[in-house]
Amino acid sequence: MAKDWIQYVNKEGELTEGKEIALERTECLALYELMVTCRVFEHKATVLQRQGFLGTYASGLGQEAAQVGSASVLQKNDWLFPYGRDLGAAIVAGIPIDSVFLWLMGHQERWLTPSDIHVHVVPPAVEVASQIPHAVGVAWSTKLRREPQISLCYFGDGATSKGDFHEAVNMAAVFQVPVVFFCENNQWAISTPFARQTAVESIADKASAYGLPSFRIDGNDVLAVYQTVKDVTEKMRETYQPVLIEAVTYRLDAHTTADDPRRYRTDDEVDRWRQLDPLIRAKSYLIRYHQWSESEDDALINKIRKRVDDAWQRANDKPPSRLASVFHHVFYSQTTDLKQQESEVQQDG
Amino acid sequence: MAELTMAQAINQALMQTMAQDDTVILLGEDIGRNGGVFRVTKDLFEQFGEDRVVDTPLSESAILGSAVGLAMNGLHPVAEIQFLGFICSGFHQIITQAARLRSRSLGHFTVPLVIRAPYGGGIGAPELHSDSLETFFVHSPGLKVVVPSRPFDAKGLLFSAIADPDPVIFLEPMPLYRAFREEVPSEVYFEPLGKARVVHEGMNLTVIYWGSPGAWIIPTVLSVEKATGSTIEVIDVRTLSPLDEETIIASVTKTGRVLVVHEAVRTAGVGAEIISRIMAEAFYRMEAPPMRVCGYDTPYPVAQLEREWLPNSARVERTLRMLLEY
Ligand SMILES: Cc1ncc(C[n+]2csc(CCOP(=O)(O)OP(=O)(O)O)c2C)c(N)n1
Ligand SMILES: [Mg+2]
Repeated sequence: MAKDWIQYVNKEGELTEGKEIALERTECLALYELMVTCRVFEHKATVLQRQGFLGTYASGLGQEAAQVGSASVLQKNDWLFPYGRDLGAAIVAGIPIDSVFLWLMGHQERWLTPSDIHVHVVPPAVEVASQIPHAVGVAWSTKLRREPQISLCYFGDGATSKGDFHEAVNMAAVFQVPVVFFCENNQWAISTPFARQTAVESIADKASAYGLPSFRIDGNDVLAVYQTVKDVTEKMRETYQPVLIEAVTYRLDAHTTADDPRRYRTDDEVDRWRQLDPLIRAKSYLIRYHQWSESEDDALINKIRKRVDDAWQRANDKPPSRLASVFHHVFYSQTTDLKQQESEVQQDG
Repeated sequence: MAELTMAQAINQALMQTMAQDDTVILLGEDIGRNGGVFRVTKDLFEQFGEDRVVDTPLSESAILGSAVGLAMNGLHPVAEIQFLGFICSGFHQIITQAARLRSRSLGHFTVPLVIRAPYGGGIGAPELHSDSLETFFVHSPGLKVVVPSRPFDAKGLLFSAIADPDPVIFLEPMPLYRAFREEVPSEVYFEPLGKARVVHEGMNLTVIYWGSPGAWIIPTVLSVEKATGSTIEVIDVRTLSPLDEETIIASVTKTGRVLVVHEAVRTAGVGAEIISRIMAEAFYRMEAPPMRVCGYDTPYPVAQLEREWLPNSARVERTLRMLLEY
């Protein structure tokens, strides 16, 4: 019963038959630049982790189209609920790259949201699926106030086995609250393959059990992702109707820097998906339809490398964390116990 | 006998139990082909096949709830939760179900289930991977709670946990998985649940701990003994529920001073229960107020701060001196 497949640009970078793209060159380039930013960030973070600067790192390599295409649709005061692999999406939504590095360093100033940020970006969910009901509550509150804001909630294929996913999607459909449930189906949950996660062919099929519309899209086609999320959210701002989107993509890297995927998947499989790399596709599209050149591409990559390197420099220049900081964000006003424990720490110096 | 790490000792216990008893099955996330994220279930999938070493969908509630059902009907499931923090979304299956089925059915249904989970801090992991949540389980009648701190105990206690007719939460301190090796008998042996181990004898003070502090507590104690001329008894509790009150009270009655060390946050930690029992049973023997070195009453901190936040040698040494000088 698998859903229709939405694709705008095929793996050669050609427009899929019957599809039109309304985006100008500059708009396409803006999406591409964000994808390159995510990719450069992934590479930098992986290298820094190996050098011992960052903790365990879950790379989103290969999922840039899914993250960029969706997060770039967000408008002022919308909400974004990322999980641990969505650092790229968070950067797209306005979290500074240095702040993301601090988060990965395990620094006390992790995930410091800038006060002028345009989208509400919640810190990435670590407990799988825990963020999904939150998106429902936030969307519910915007609906109660008759505001047009929507919530974009990311999660993986593995997360759809959790009760939190099913309970949240059901409630959103019952109350008709404006959430885009956006599943990045990257085929694996650590070593667990998609077929071990669910007996249905497509995550999108699950929507029919709860009574909400769903879409199954080529998650490596940034234009398909962008266009689908844009169409869906424009409607949602008026109707409040939630939707489920399954973006079919692939985790090209290991689950985290602590994982060895050779134990459970073949290099052949990874190579097949490398052919579908979302950056290669976007670049081919730009070359084919918008006279993009290799030299412009190199210049763009160099510009972004510098931006990411500078962000790392700023993060690395921060003074190290101080234990006293842990006592300050537990409650609005510090309890007597915490005050006393903080002063114990200060004395121990 | 061979020298094994704790991860190897646990793996060997699982291997031997499963070979002897085909009602023992393992279930959890990434425990099969991948051998577990800490490789504790390595080679078991190859040895016993996918019906006995089961990679489940990503659902703690379904892992734990179905394990209760498996246990009710003749099997001996050993469920793995990938990191203890993730047990929370299957919490009700433990607290309201596994722990109570015996009472609810007046002994007609029982739940011989073991739930294993990597536990504790100190490995620089992301949020929720390092919390010490043992109090929740100790506070729930009907569950046994075991925390080994060395390879020998891990193997012997795991055999006992699997043989036990009631649900057992088996917490494996992550930093100890590969911290050191020790001689572990190659055969099956049972270390009793509910029995503490006196790891070092002394006359002037009793230190009580479980889990990761086992890696550094003895050198700390030895250096304080050397500097002060006192002798300090050290007890590894090993089982938090049921608690071995006898061993604890006997020691404190002898020494008159006590320090409890645990990674869990201080308030309502198991240390409070231990100290309360000591005050009830050894009150007239006490030479100093009982003290605790624990995690602070905050959410587990970011990686850069965990070494300072956790009980450590410096904090323990200072408190030992305070107690001895009291
Ligand atoms: C409730 C919970 N259980 C287990 C884990 C450990 N864990 C982290 S990521 C992961 C797999 C997630 O798979 P998926 O949802 O497909 O996202 P992906 O990692 O593929 O992006 C697991 C089991 C966790 N973080 N939270
Ligand atoms: Mg996945």
